[in-house]
Amino acid sequence: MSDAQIKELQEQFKREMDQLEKTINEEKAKQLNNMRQALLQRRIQKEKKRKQLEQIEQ
Amino acid sequence: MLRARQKKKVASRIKELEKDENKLEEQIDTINLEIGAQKAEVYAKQGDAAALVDSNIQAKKEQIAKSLAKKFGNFKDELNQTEKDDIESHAIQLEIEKQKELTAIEYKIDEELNTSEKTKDLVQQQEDIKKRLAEGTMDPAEKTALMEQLAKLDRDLQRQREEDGKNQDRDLEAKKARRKALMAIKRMKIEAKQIDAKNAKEIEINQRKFDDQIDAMTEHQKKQLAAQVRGQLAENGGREQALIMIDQAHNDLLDQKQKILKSKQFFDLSKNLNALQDQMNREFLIRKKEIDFKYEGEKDELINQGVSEQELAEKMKGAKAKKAIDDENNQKQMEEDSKVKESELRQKVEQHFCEEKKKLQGTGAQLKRQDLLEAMDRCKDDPTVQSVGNAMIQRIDNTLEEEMLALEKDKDAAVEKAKLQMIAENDKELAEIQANLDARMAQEEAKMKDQLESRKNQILGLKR
Repeated sequence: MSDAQIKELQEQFKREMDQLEKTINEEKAKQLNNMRQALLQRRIQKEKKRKQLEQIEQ
Repeated sequence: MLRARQKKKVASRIKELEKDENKLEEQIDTINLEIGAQKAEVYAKQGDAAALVDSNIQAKKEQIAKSLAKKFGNFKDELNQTEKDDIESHAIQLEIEKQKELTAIEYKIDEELNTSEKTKDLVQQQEDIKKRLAEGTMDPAEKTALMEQLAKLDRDLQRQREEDGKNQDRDLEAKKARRKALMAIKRMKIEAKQIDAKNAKEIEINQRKFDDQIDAMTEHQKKQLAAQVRGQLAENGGREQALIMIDQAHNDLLDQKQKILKSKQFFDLSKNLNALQDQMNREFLIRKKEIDFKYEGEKDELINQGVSEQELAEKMKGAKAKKAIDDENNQKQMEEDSKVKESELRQKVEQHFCEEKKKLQGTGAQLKRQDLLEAMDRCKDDPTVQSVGNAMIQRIDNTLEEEMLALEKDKDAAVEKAKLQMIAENDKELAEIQANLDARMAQEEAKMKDQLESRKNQILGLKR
């Protein structure tokens, strides 16, 4: 294999690796965002329930 | 003779020196052009951050930017006569619809006022039985009993309606007052319902003005830029500088459009918030009027019962206490509704604003791309132009996705803040909730990182 072919192959691997890392990071960000939304929703629901109970007690 | 020869020699030396000077100047020009081309190559890859814009190009792009700012410095939101007429005719249309609805409801209100509580109760009982019969899940004996009950109710209802008819002319003044109160409530309900429609119309007109201004800005800049690009492409060398000018001018155009968009979004948000507040206040007043109406009705009923004075005072006290509770709940409902509805509105608006920003950004990139391709098309034989142009287009495509993601991120943060405003009592509490959320997320992120790392090691270990 010539030097040029080796270099080309290395570049191709690097591109594939970059793409893979990008995809992983995107998926990670998506999952974390979903998790954050779920936590937030849970907190809001909890607060709503607390207020409802407060009203009923009154 | 000797002098003449010396003179000739000096003249020829001068000529030689001039030739050398010209040659050197040409070399300097060539070197400058090469430096310019190399700077352009770096600029194409790194963009504005590289600070490599030629002073001549800088001056030209500033000229274009100035002309744009002079003509379209601010969002022109003043209404013209056609738009004013449009809003007025829409208001008239809403007024007609309101009157139509009120006329249709008048008959129902009269019917309700002439129907005694006893009749209403009998109708309700009748409906309940009909519902049970329609379900059809009872045995025949029960069905027969229900049918008999229904027939009796029919007779009672007929008798009661005759009675109501006889009483129609009684308490005319009280009925008149109740009718007026009910009509006022209905009118307020229709008006509250129409706030949204009125607001939507104004926002629609504003949006149209914004779209027109954006189109006009694009058109204006296109002409200005085309003239400058034509001049630059006609030069002997440094034609790639035209591409830098296109890039810079489009950046300026986008900045200016974003400024206009900000003004428009501020207008939209203020309008929406005002409309919401107006609606909240009206709903509060409607509920208050309904409570007053109910209280007055109860009072009349108690007086008509003909009970002793002491018993009447006792019952009146009870009704008044109930009304006070209703009033208090009404106030609480308004406060709660304000928080929830404002939060919902802000969430919706932030989503919309993000879409608008993304659209502007996307269109900006598309216009820039188009102009670059056109310029490149006119210099097919210039390798520097082709190389710089391709690198620029590559950069536009690469950064656009990142820019869109950044906008999405900003929007998520704004929506989250709006959601939290629903439960947080003040800014301090909001910051606390957000800090808790951040801390929890940092834990989750660390956990995820560990999981990914161990999975990566596992895969790599297997491959080895």
